[in-house]
Amino acid sequence: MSQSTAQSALDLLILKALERGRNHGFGITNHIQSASDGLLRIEEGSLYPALHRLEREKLIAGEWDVSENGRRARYYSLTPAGGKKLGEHETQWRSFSLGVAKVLEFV
Amino acid sequence: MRRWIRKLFGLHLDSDLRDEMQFHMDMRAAECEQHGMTPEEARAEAHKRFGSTAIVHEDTRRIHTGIILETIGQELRHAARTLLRTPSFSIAAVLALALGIGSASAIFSVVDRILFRGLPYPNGDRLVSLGVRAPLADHEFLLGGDYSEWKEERTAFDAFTSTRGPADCDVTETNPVRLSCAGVEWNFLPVLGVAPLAGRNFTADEDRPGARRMAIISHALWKERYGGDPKIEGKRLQLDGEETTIAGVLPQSFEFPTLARVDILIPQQLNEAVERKRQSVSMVTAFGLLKPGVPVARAKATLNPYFRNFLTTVNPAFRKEISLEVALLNDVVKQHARTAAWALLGAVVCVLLIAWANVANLLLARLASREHETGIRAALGAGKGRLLVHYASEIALLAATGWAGAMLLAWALLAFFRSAAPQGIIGLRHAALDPRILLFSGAVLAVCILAFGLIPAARLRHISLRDARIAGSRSMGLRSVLVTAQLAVSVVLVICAALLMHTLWRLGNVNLGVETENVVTASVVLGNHHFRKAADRYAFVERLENGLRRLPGVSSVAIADALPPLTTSMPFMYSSIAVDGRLAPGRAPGGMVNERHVTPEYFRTLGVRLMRGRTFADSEVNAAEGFAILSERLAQRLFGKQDPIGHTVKPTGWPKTYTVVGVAANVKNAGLTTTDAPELYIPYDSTDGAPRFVSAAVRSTAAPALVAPLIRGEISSIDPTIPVKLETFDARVAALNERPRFNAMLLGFFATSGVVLAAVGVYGVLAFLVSQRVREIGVRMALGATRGRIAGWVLSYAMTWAAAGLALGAAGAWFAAQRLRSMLFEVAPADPGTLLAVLVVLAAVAALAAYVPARRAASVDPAVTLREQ
Repeated sequence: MSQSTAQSALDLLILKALERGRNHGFGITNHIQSASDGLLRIEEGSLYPALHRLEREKLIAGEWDVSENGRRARYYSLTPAGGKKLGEHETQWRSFSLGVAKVLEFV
Repeated sequence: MRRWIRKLFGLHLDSDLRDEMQFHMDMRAAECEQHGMTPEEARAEAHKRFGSTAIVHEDTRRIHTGIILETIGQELRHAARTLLRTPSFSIAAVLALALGIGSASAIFSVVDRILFRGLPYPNGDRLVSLGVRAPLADHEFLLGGDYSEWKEERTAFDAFTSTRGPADCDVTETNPVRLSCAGVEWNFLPVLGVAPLAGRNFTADEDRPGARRMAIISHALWKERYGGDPKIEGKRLQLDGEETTIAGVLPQSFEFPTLARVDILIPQQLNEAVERKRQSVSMVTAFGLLKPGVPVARAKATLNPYFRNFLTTVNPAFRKEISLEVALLNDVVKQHARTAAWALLGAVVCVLLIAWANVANLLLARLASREHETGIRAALGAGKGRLLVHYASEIALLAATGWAGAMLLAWALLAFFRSAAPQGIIGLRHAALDPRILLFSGAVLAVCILAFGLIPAARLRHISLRDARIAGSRSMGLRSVLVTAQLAVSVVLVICAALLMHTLWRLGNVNLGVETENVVTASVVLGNHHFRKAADRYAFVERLENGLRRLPGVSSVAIADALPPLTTSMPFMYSSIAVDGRLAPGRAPGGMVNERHVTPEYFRTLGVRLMRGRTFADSEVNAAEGFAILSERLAQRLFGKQDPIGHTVKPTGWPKTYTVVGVAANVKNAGLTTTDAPELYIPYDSTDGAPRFVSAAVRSTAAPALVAPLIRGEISSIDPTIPVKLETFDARVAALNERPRFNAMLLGFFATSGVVLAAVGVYGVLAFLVSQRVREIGVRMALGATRGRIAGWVLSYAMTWAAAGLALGAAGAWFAAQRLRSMLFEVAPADPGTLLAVLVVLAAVAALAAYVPARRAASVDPAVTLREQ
């Protein structure tokens, strides 16, 4: 997979994970791993550059808050622009993977 | 606001990121512990799953920096677009900054040395030039024998050193070239505190008469002829026919104490024994190194007894014409260019002020129009912080561009100095941008921007729509004052420049007393290698005269040891002349008389009229008896109204007695600006009347370009190893005006800059005025004012400023011109013609600058403007 495709895949996953509500980086990582039944194990640190980039692009918004166990953590939530982007991304991705599946099945 | 700036610069980024990553790993470790790992295992597992924190940190940081740079980039692009939308403002501002700061930087770099630092010697502040001043020479000197006694003085002095020359010397090998050599005492460089760049200084042994010939060469010569070879020590050179070994190389910034051009230093090899016995006498220029803390007056006092001793050896008749001079070398040297330096400094400060005023006006105007716009935007809800940032980045971009332009101009000016600067002004030949100037110019820029750009802009934040409309008129008063000041300062500049140019013109038209058209001159120096004996030199002159006469197109040939208006190197004291065998004791000190060796055709070739008598006959050349021709001035002094023909003159100590055969008209022989000195012309002589310097003047009907190579060929056929300097007579004379021409050009440049800037200033303020008062104009027109009246109204502003500016300026110029007196020649500081011309020109410029705004005002459509409420 090329860098940008991997990058956009990660973005999609992050945005989707935040659709359910705000979360911190650790929470997002766990969600992705469990929701994919363990099929997607990303190197956990690589989430953070993506998170910061998405924040700069105003697709997610970050704020400091106190976590469940009383520690200072940075929480991210989806912005309206992020929600829109998620919709587009999802549609693109679905047609992309459908297309790949069709080519693979073609005999 | 503060939070936003912090966010912009990401100052908290690192610690926040660390916290975030640590939180993640701690949570992972806690989870692992819950699954049964030990704390250490859990932490290790967390780290492993996280990946490299360093890389993550790096990548995230890069994202943020990228954003920051992108933001700055965006901001600058936006600023550039805004500036380009108002090209006249932007260009005017950048031009003002570039001209002002650029020329200021260049001049400050240069005058610093002239006015303040002096010569580039480490021991500079303890060096004095010392000697006796006599009408004999134009600066103080000491006789060799006296110098060797004086230099024993150790109460006030640490050391002495001396030099001779510089004089022309020739490199007589494969590429013969005429150079300038100065003889120096072996300790010359150490006394100055200068160390050779490569190689070594002379040793005391090398300074003894008869020692092996050594030389220290200039940096330029080292680069040109030896390619900067570091192994220069020991290389050979053929100088005036003698094998010379190179000992070392001078530093690049080295200047000879008299500021003359010097290519090579050689040991002067003063023969002290001979000098003390006065068997043969040389003149040296002496310098002393004062002991630390010793004032010049005390040093002079300690030398007084030596001086009185010296006076006892001088003929009592001449004693009163001689004095002792001891002065700080830096003072002496700064004297030469002091006025010019102050003039330049003054000029550049003027330009800087005008430029400053321009930038101020432009920024104020822009601010005023911005206030209007800001008011509207604020009413529409735009963020004031953002607008301020936009404004600030525009100013920053302007300042940066202006500064870049300034550095470019400064570099160009300094390059011009390096190539075209006349000799005799320190530091110009090595002019380089002083690094302190870069800081200085940056500081000046910052102050200007702050004062007129950002501080008022900060007020922008509190503006409301209502205020904005009245904003424009408030600063009009200040702007009028600035424009008037600009015009006044330009007037000063232009008048000074005009005076200098007038001087230059006068210098070009000085009556030399000779006819210079169609005359080509050639000068050579007969070095010791082939022309040690006077007989050889005489033979050369004879052969040359005959050879040149035979060239096609040549109507007459003159040979002399120097051609006017240059003086010869052999003046003698007027009071030493005995007329008809009698000295006139008590004759008033009469200064110096020039002695010039000439061929009989000299007067005809140069068009010098013989008032009485005739030129030398062929039989009188190289004759046993002496014959002489007097210049009119000399004849009048010695003989009054009496006819000198047939009488004899004999200067003290000369072997022959000279019978006067003619009187020649006066010719300028002491430079262009000084009155000519009395002159004695004598024919060439093969026993002792054949000087080393030979100049030929050839009058021909053919074009100089055709004659010159023929002359060169003729000299070559007599001796191919001597370099020849060929010029037309007019070119020679023009070269003498090097300094005045340089001054006039430079000041002319500044004056032009000043006027251009002032004109731009007038235009700018008027354009702004018109744009602000558009409604008023519309009303006036609606009430019946004609277009002509409107244009006239605009013009009247310009003329009022011009009148006030010109009046102030004229007064200021009068003061400035008085200071310039020493640089003027036959031009009065209050020259009415110049003044009038300048006033007319400036009034015209102001009118021209007002033309476009006036037209725009006149073309306002009242219907349109009145509708805009």
